[in-house]
Formats: sequence, C-alpha cells, structure tokens
Amino acid sequence: MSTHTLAAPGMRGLQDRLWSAVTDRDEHAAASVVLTALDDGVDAESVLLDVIAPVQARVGTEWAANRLSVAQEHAASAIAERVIAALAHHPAVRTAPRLGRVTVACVDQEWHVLPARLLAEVLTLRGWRVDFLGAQVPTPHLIGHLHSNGADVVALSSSIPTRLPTAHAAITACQAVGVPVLAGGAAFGPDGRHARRLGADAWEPDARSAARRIADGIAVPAAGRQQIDDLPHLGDQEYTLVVRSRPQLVREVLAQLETRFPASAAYTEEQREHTAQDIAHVVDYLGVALYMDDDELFTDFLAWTAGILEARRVPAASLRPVLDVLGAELKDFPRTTRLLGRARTVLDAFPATAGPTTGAFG
Amino acid sequence: MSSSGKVVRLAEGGSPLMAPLKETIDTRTQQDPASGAGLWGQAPYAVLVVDTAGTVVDLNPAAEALLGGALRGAPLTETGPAWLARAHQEAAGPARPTDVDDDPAGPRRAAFQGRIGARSFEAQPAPGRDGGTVWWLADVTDRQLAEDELAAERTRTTFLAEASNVLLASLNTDRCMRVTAQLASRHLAEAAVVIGPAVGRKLPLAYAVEGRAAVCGTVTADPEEVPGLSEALQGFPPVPSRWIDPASLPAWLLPEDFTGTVGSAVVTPLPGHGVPAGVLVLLRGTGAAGFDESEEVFARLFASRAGAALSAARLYAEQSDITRTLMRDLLPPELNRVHGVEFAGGYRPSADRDRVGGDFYDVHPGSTPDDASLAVLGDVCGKGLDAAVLTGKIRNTLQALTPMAGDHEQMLRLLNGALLNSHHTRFATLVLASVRREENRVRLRLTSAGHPAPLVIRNDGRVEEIETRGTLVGALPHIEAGTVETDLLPGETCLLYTDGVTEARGGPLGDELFGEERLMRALAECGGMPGAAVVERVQVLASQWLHDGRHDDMALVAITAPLTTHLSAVDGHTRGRYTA
Amino acid sequence: MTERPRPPFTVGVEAGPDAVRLRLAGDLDFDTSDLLVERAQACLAADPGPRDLVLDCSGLRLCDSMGVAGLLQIHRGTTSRGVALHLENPPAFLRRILDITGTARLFVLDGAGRRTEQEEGTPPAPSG
Repeated sequence: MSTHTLAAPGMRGLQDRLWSAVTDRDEHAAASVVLTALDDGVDAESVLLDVIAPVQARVGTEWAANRLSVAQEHAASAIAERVIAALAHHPAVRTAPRLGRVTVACVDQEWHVLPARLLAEVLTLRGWRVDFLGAQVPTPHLIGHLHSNGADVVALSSSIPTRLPTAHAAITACQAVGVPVLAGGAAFGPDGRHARRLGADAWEPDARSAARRIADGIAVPAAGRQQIDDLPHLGDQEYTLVVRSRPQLVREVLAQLETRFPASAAYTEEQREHTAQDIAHVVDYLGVALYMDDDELFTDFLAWTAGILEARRVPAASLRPVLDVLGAELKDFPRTTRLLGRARTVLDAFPATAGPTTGAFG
Repeated sequence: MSSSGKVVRLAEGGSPLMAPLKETIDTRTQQDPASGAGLWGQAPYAVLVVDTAGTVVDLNPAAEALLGGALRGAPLTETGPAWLARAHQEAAGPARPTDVDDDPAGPRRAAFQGRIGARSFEAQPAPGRDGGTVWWLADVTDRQLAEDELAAERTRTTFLAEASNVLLASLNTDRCMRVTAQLASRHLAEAAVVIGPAVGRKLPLAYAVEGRAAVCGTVTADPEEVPGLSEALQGFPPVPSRWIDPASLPAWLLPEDFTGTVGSAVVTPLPGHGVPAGVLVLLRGTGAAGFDESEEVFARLFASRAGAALSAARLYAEQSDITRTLMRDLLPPELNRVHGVEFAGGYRPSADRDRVGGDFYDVHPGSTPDDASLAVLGDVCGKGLDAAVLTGKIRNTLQALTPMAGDHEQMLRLLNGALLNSHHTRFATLVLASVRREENRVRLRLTSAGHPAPLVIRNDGRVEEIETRGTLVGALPHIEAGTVETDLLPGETCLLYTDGVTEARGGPLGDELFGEERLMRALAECGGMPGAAVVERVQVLASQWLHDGRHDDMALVAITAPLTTHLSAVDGHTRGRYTA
Repeated sequence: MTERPRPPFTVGVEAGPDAVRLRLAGDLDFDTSDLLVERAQACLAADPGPRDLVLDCSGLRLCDSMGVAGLLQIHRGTTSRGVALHLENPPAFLRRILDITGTARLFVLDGAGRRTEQEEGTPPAPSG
C-alpha cells in the first residue's frame, strides 16, 4: 500500500523539513513539523499520505542505494511511528467512528508496518472503527481476532514477495470465516496481480484508493475455497519439496562454490554466513515463484540482486554458479528447471561490469 | 426423508401412471375410433371430444363430474380450463416433433398439464373422428405432489448444507445472528428476527427482511412480551415452534424495513445444547400464505443448525472473554519514557497460539524523577499458561518489593523465598535494572539472577557485556547475586534480553543457533539508535534467522539515554494549548 | 512450518554397587525433563540407595531451562538423601547454562568420565 505524492506546493517544503528532522534523528523536530502543519490547517490525511509517507518511501530508497545505514533506517521508522502516534492525539484529528469495523494487519513475518499503519490512520480519520493488529500477525491470531470482534473487511499488508504463501493462507482463512480481504503492499505486485491470483477480494495500490474501495463495500466471499483451488499447480509438490530442502540446498551450493572458487574457501565465518544467506534468499524466491507459478517473481528478484551486487562492485555473473548448482540438484523438477533456465537467460543478458568473476557474493 | 426415496423409485420406473393410460388410448381408439363414447364412456379417466372448431362435442361421465355438463356443446376456449384450451390450439396446430405416435421413448409425448380445481391433470390428445381430438385427462395430483415435494426437499437440503457452511464458518456471535436472520428471511419467511439471551437488561437482536442485509442491534425489553421467548432464552428444553397472534407482537420485534402488516408469525427456539442460544421469529405479511406443517418442520431443522452454530459462537466468546481478562495482567506492558529515560520493550511468545508465556518485563517508575525506576526482565521455565501463571506471581511479588529496590540482592532473596515450593523446581531467571537520569546521563544498577548478562551499546560502537552474575530464583534455598553499576551517555542503550533470542535456531543452514556473537554483531550496528529501533532490529534479525522454525519466547527491553528532548514535551504542548 | 527432526530422548540406566549411572541422550527439555526426573527418583528410592548418582551427559544435544529445572529436582532428591550428584562429560552448552543460572556449584562436574561397562536397559535396582 505505497502512497503516492500529491506535489502540492506546500507539501514539498514540509517533506524536506520532516526529512531532515528524521535523518538527524530529531524526534522533537519531526513531531513539530507535523503538529505545526495540523495547527496551520493542513488536512490530517494529507499530512499522513503526502508528508510522512513520501519521507518514509525516501528512507527506503536511500537505504537501498546504500546512502543510509540500517541504523538510520530503523531510527527513521521509529520516529515516524511516534510522530503518527502524536498526530493521532491532535485535537484536529480525533474522529468518532460512525462507519463499520475494519481490521488492519501485516502478514506473519512482515515487519514493514508503516503502510498498514498509515492505512489504519486514514480509515480512522474517515470514520471507520479500526483494529490495528500491527506487524507480523500470525494467521491464528488474526482469525481469533475476527471470531472475537468481527470485521466488515480485513486489510492485509505485505511488502515481501516471499511471504506470499503466508499471505495466501491468511487470505483463505479470513474468507473461510466470512470476512472479505483487501490486499495491499509491494508483495502483491505493482498491478496487484498476485493478490488476484491468491483470490483476494480486492486490491488497491495506495491508502486513498483502499479507503475508497472499503467505503464502496466489498462482497462477502463464498465459503469453502482452499489454497489449491487458486493454484492447482501446487499439486506437483515442487514448491513443498524445494522449500523443505532449503537448508540442504544452501549447504550444497555453498560446498560446490568452495570447490569451484578456491578463494571463497578463505572467507571469514561472517562472509560465509552472508553468502549462505544470499543463497537462502535465492532459494526463497525460487520457492515463491514455484508457489505462484510466476517466472517473473524469480527473474525480477535476480535482476534486482544483480543490480545491488554491481552497485557493491560484485559482478552479477557471480550468481550464475548458484543457479547452475541448483539446476543440477533440482533437475528432476520440470517447473523448477524452467524457472532456473529463464533466470540464467536474464542473468546472461545483464550488463557485465569489468573485472574478473570471483564467483561468490561479496 | 423416506418420502423422497419413494418418489425417486417412482421416477426411475418411468411414469407408471402414463404407461397404462397410453395403452388404453391407443388400443381403444384403434379398436373403434368411430364409436367413441361407447368405449371411453366407462373409462376411469375424464375424456372429452373437441372438434376442429374447438367445440366440446362430447364428454364421458367422469369428465362431466369434473368439468360440469355445461361444457357440452360449448367452445372449449370459453368454458373449459384455459390451459386445456391452449393445449388444444397447440395440439390441433402443426404437428410438433415430439408428437409422433411411434416415438420409441414411450408415453412421455405431447403431454399437457394444468389444474382443475385443487387437482393436477395431465391431458393427452388422441385423434378423433372428422379431424377432432379426443382428450384424455389423467389425475396426476399425487405424482405432482411427490415431484414438488422432491424438488422442495432438494432445495431444502441444499439450503441446509449451505446454511451449515455459512453458519459454522464464523465463531463471531453477531455475525452468526445476522447470518441466521438473513438465511431465514431468504428461505423461510419474508422477515426474520433472531433474539439472543439477554445481556444485562438488553436483548441482542438481528433483523433481516428478504432481499436486504441483516442488521444487529439491542433492545431493552421484557422477553415475556413474546410468547415462548423467555422459556427459550432461559434454556428450557426446546418446545415446538408456536403460532402467535400477529396483533400481540411488540413493535420492537418488527424489523424497521418490514413495511407490510404481519399476517403470520412463528416463534422457533434455537436449541443451544446446554447453552441458551436464542429464538428465531419468522414473519410473513398478510398477503402471503401462512406457515404450513412441513415448513415448520423445516424451520426446526434450520433452527437446530443455527442454534448449534450460535451456541458454539457464544461459548467461544465467553471463553475468549475469560482468557482475555486473565491475560490482560499477564501480557507485557507497553513501555514509554519514564523520568527522562527511554524504555522500549518487545515480546514474541513461543507457540503462535499462546500469546502469553514464560518471558516477562515491567518498568516500575520511581515515585519522583529523582528516584530510580526499576526495570525487570525475566524468563520463567516452561511455557504456555502454566508458565504465565508463575510469571504473574513473580511480577506481582516484584511490584510489592519495589521499595526494596535499593538492595537488589535482598530483593531477590525475598522473591526467592516467596517462590520456593516443595513440589517442583520451576524457577525464574531475571535481571533487575535500577535506572535514574542524572543530568543527561543515565545511571544503571544491574543485577542478574541466573540470567544472560545485559549488553550495553556504547556510542563508539563497542558492545559491552555487563558482568553481573547470580543464582536463579525459586528453586534453591540460598541464592547469591552481584550488582554492577554503569552509566549510559546520551544515545547509548542497555539491552536486556531472554535466551529465546540467542537460542533461536535456524539460519540459512537451518539448524544453527542465533547465538550471542551474532547478537553482539547486530548490536554493534545499532549505535545511537532509539531504543525501540534497537528492539525492532533484534526482533527482525531473530525472526529472519528462525525463518519458519519453532522458537521459545523472546523478550527484549531497551533502556536508552535519549539524544534529544522527547515527544512527551510535544504532548504537553498539545494539551497545554488546547485544554487550557 | 518445518520442524527439524529430533532424536528421541533416552535415559540408559546402569546400576553398580555404590553408584547408579544414567546415560542421557537427546534433548533435555520441556517434553523430556519429567522422564529423567522419574528415572532418577526411582533409582534414589531403591533400598539400599546408591551413594553416587552419575548423569552421563555426553550424549546430550540440548538442555533448556526445563532441563535445568529437572536437574534441580533431582538435586533435591540427592541432597535430602546425602547422595552426591555427578554430571559427567557435560557438553559446553550445559556448562554454560549452569554457569549463567548460578547452579554449577550444586553438581560434581566430572570432566572425562570413567567408563564403566555399558549395560543398556538394566533395571534401576542396585545389585549390592
């Protein structure tokens, strides 16, 4: 549920001031930017979506580009959280609920809480009674909440594509108790196609359109659908087998990399662990691409990783042996083989940088 | 449902009613097509002869008894049943493809059906003299009833199955009541009201009018106003549904959007199997037929399903209320800034279904800003509710002991004494932190009772282990503990954690412990971060490390010396400006 | 959710004239600690009881806080009967958790333990 920027003239100035407060880790200054804007009569929804959200988006981009440290990124998010909390207490913002009840939650393992938080605040502002369950909500908690408190709709947020299988379980579980699901977040694809694939009752690209869609009403889903009804290819078990053998696959790739590239044998324990984690990520994305039967999920991830590696002066070609070893290990799985083949093509076409191939991640 | 079985057999046999009929028609008309009345006059069927002009030229006594003698000589269109007149026009017209005498499919050809009086007839044409038509009318009322019953039975079975699916999907009481009312209004009546057992003096209700969404509400009313209602609500054995005089219905019972006048009303209890589930009131307008016996039986079948679903939902609601109440004090509190020191906590219980467990933390604010606040983080061995109960005991005891917080060891001895139990050796390990802001730094006194040592993230990037050691509490008669003091400069954080973090098992290779070293490495990157961000960072890393694996409870408390003035000043500003 | 396969927890009992030796293998945790306590208590309750109770920990794979609670429960039994409680070949993780919890002093920690004849499944009755 990323939000887009309304570049109203005043907003740019507010964004800049909030940005410098947040990157200076000055909570007080950050809160004062927001509260002063409210005092000046700026609409609370605009403050949330046209000031705070773009600044947070910028934090993410700067971090991905290695211009902000992990610490700065976390600090910025923590400050944003508190600023939103302060905003919710501003007298100009308090709204009595007069519409229905909405549960807003992130899927399990999803820590990127801000988009869901913003939606929760926007819905509250628009008069909904909102139960905000926060980050990484285990599906049994979500369902328990729906049984106990009821909801007209669940807004489910996920930013990481590897959580799509978990999101799917959550979506079908909500629908099984008769509550429709609106999906949002980067995990579901820029066009929401993964949300449709997983049978979500609605998908919206940002908080404003999500709030409109919820106001329009989302029909109660039909009962009795199971995950395999949406994704019949799961019957081939390739997803299950690949995901289950993740540790063995990582171990095997790691071992073979060491024989192919003696340099990697000299890695420190920490370097080895980073390499193992990167390989585990490749397996995770392979898994989710198998789950969704969507090649692009895997090839996009590889292209993105290749880009990051190049930015850190590691040749993208170093990913190639990982795919080769996985291909050899999983040669009996037709869909996996197809996916790995596509991935190799994408990787081979990646603009090569100068320098020798070291064969493993940095 | 024996009747449906009977009917199915009947249908499979291929219209035994029609077979002899056709035979009769065929043989007799062929034997003497001209003599007419002589043969069919005694037939057990009503027979009438209609000429090409549409005039009824003859009827046998059976037909006369059925249709009246006045028909003789009159045009069928004017005096006969309209459906038969239409049938005659159609049969006399160009031959239809099915209207073939030697149709091997047998008797089911060109049959017309309609009602005469209260009974159903099937009319079969046969060619008569001079191009006229001999109509044989067979009384098929019983078959028709059986078929209607079969169709109705099938609809009802489908409906009941669907109702069960929808009703059992949710354990939410409001939703169950709404669904019950909605289904009943759609399939059993024109409007339906579900009344639940009273909550205090209020009766929860769900109203539904056919074709509209159901709504929930409550009403303050006396159940005695509706006959049968109070008994049903008190959980007396289900009584058969009963008719009530529509005029006696209280106004609150009628759905707002039910516009007509109630013509008939039935009250059916929802059997709750030990728990009163409520009643279902079915309403029909004056224009509609009343409820017949089979509909009442059907309503009872539906009510038993709805009652089961509602009582399950109500039991669930009661249980989860109790659990929620009990858990309220067991859940870790939300931490905030206290006396110029930033506190942040994070908790992730072990099994996804147990939201409370053996890890806990608390911050007891000092009575004045100059008094130290006491932060406690600990881990009770075991898991689930057992552990949670012991946790509650420890937290309460520690709260009572806060005046002794000047001497951690003494406090721990008293706690140990309070927990000792001759039956088991379930113990707790914990860290006590007395925290006081002095100028811009934070002074800490830290004592571990058998717990992993607190870690301090220094501004220069070092992560320091605070060397305090002591014995676990609750299992041994004598314990020892050593207190260590340290200061935090602005931006520095002291992290208390439970071993669920370091013992998270997973990683890319699947079976490695997260371990203290990884934790220290992660913390080395957290220099200058707000406490909440440190907590979140460690939680994210541990949770990614676990991937999908099982894990123990994990609890974290960060104590941070703030870099800048805090938002509480902002809150103060807000209140000051707007409430003055 | 993938659950790693766990070897079963086993307690092998070897009764000698003065000492009873329990050989522990697998994970000593929430699910298994009661079993160990029962076995040890049965050994202690025998008449005449042993002078030493030796827990051979070389086969232990994990010991969590419930495991420690079990060891403390056994310690209560040995203390009240004047029996010495030995932990033989404690793996590093066991030493660590005993150190952190401040309970290491309760046990006689034997490094490289003596090996006696291994008779698995001997009933917990002392032969002396």
